[in-house]
Amino acid sequence: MIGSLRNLWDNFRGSGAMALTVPPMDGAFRPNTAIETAQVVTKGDHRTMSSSREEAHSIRMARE
Amino acid sequence: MCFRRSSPLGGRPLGLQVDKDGSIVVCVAGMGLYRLTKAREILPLSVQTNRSFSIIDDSRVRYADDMDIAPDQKIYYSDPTKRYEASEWLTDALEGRGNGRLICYDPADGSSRTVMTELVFANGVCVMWDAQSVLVAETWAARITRLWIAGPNKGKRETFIRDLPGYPDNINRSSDGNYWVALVGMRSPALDLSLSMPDFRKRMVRRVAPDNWLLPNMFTGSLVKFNADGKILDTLWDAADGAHPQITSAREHKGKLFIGGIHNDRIGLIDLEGADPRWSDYEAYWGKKT
Repeated sequence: MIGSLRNLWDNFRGSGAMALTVPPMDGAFRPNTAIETAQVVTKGDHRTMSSSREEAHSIRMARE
Repeated sequence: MCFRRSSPLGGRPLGLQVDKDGSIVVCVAGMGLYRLTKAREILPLSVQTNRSFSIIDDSRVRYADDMDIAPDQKIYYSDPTKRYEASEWLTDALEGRGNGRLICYDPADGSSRTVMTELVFANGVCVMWDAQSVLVAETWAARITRLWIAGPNKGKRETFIRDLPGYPDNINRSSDGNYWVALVGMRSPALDLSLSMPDFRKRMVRRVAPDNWLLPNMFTGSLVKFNADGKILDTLWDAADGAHPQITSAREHKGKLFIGGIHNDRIGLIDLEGADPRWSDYEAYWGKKT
């Protein structure tokens, strides 16, 4: 009951679970380049990649 | 380091986990949950679940995405959407409804049943270290939901982390008792606003060509470490033009973090400072190999 009322109130005010705000990028969210500078250990074959079902589907969609 | 091509599964393999006997349990999009034995046999485990009260038969697993194995050998896996195929993820994102579910496969009797519904694109699944609960990433809701599977709270569902800055994908355990979650893309105010306006989105998909639909920002993501209380501890960032864009999964092994993306053609490696160089995911789940 209290949860439903809170949801209604949050929906009205745009707060809590209904908030649209993106959290501030500070503290643990500070930027760094850890992934950009990560080592590449294996690379796939592009011919195999392009034959995957999803890519074939995207190509078909693009043609249509 | 040695790589070996394994058995062809026939579908698109997504989340996987090594089971106690050394076999690999894998989610295959469009097919279901499969086991790949050490003898390279492919065994179907779960391809359908119990039907809900819906008029449409939703018992077939459309899009098995990620899974994890509990100590009692039950396998929890996600079906992100019961309305669309894997290639139609954007349509599901724009619909923004709880089409996803969490399914539990019990190897004792071979049954599968849905244990959680109304998940907004149920994606990454991880059984927590204490094996009392399961975490499920709800991608388009930018949150992680917890389902208690044991203990006094068994059956209870709660939001574990809300309001993430991006869209969470796979969740895996880290060597220091915490968890890694990949954020496949970052939220933008425009899409956030549109997700609160269903009429706007309905008009958009009817009147605008798919190429011009509002798309989630899926080009820059990150890896976030959080603890058992849901507190964010650390973040590793990437860039759209970096070597590893759109990271969707990360798994720690012997002091290193292996990273991969669903559309990337490569696997990356990050040396983790201070991580245990002897820690292996298998031993953390099942103990020392005998």
